[in-house]
Amino acid sequence: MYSGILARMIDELGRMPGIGPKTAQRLAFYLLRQERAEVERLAHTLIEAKETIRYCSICFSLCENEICSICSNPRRDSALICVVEEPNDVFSLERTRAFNGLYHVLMGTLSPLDGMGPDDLKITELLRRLQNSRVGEVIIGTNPDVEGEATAIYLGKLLKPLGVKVTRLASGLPANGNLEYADDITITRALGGRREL
Amino acid sequence: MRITTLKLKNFRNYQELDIDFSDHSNIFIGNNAQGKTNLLEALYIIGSTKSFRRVHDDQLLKIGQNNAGINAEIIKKGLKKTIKFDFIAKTGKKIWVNGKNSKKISDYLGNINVILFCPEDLMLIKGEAAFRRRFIDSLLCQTDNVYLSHLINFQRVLKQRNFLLKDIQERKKAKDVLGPWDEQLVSFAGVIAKKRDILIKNVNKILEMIYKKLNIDEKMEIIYKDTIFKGENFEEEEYATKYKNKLKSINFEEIRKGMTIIGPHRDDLEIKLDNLNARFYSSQGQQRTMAISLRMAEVEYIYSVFSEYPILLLDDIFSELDDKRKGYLIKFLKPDIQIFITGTRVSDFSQMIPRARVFNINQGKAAINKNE
Repeated sequence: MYSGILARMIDELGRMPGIGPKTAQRLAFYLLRQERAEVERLAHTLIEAKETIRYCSICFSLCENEICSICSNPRRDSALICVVEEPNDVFSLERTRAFNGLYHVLMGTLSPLDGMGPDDLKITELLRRLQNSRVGEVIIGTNPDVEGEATAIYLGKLLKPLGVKVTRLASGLPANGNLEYADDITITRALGGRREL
Repeated sequence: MRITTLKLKNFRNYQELDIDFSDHSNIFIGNNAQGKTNLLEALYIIGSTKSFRRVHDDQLLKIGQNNAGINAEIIKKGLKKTIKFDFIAKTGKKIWVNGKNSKKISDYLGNINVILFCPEDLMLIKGEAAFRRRFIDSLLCQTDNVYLSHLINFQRVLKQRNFLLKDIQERKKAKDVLGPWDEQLVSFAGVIAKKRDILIKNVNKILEMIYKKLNIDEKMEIIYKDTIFKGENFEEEEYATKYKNKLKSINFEEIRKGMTIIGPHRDDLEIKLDNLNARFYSSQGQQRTMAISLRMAEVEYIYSVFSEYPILLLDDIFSELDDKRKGYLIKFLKPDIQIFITGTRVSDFSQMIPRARVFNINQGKAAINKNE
């Protein structure tokens, strides 16, 4: 339908996750309506972000320096590490302000279908962090789907012999939720994970 | 449960259709290839979201069109609901209940239950194990959300595990990474196998009742042939433990074959008639009676769970049956069940006509038969 540079622009925008062909078109037309300065600012920000932002050399979350602000913060509890799948999971946990430990991003999960095995995850780096350290507990915060669960089981087997306490994020009823509206699976899981008062 | 109205747009050979149904029997009469089964297909989709023809959604669109719609009004437990399916070519479908989008199929299922009787049901007795597994899975998925979720997870783990076994075979991955998948595989499998076992025990009780009611002096029985306990009694945890040990003992064979060779995906049901394997030791007529009885048992099981009868679709079923078996079916069709039947001759349904609404189906159009 479109040709030349416009077609290329729509195609590029449409490669991004969550952007279908229609949204890509809308974004393209929106950008073309903007002032040149606006579009330039966007382009510069994208390139600057790409050049500046990298992975923390300790925990692999996103940061602008060699080491992220969480790993370098002396007030964080360095005896506690929460292991997550992706850098954006760190942001989700940080938003809560309920966790004061450190993170470790695996950069994925075990998934043979996607060619992902233990060597493709940041597991060696995690083991290195645990050596000669004062880490007392590792919380596995991978997603509760079959890939996240497989990764959690694998890490559990690997870490427990090292004498470190390994825990798993609880799954069950949502906060402020109503039992009436929870689906059967959530309730079943919540029953399985019940605790004594 | 009732489907009171059905509107189709660009669905199969229907450009536009808008019909009201009887709460009892609805009979679609017409020559071959006029669209009778397409109507049943639309009704089946309202129940299960999928076609019984096992085709891709795009094939439901009228040729040359890029969108199609099914709109229906249903009544369940006295509550009226509007159901809307939108199919868009190469994109997929969207489902709406009372104007609210059902994002997951599992959220939608359970709005209405629909059971299809068709000549291919004979495969439940004569065919491969997959037909019988589909029978129990469909019945459990309709009545038990936990089963549905465990089955989806089991299939996902199985796919990952099979892929990994091939990787190990080709020495791309080490053997020690099977553990996390095995652990999940056996725990989902334990739940699935136990639920199947319980279901089959219930279905056997229902079958006994049905045979008694229809005055058939035979005993039909289903034996659950799982690949781990092979028909012996078991509990969920026992199943998981034994499955795990068996996986260990056949590890080399699985790697050589590059797939998981035991578990619920390989289960079968042995169907017995008077203690003999019905696949080999029963007549064609007896097999037809058994196939219909299995569907009837499905209907009664759904009633036992929801205290309401599902909707029955009978596709070209009467032409295949002799008078004796037609009699069984008509005896079974209670007045409080809504049924949809296809056929080529009105005379085949003379016994049902008093309470039925008859539609003449001709080239993608439905007209009410004025002689009803």
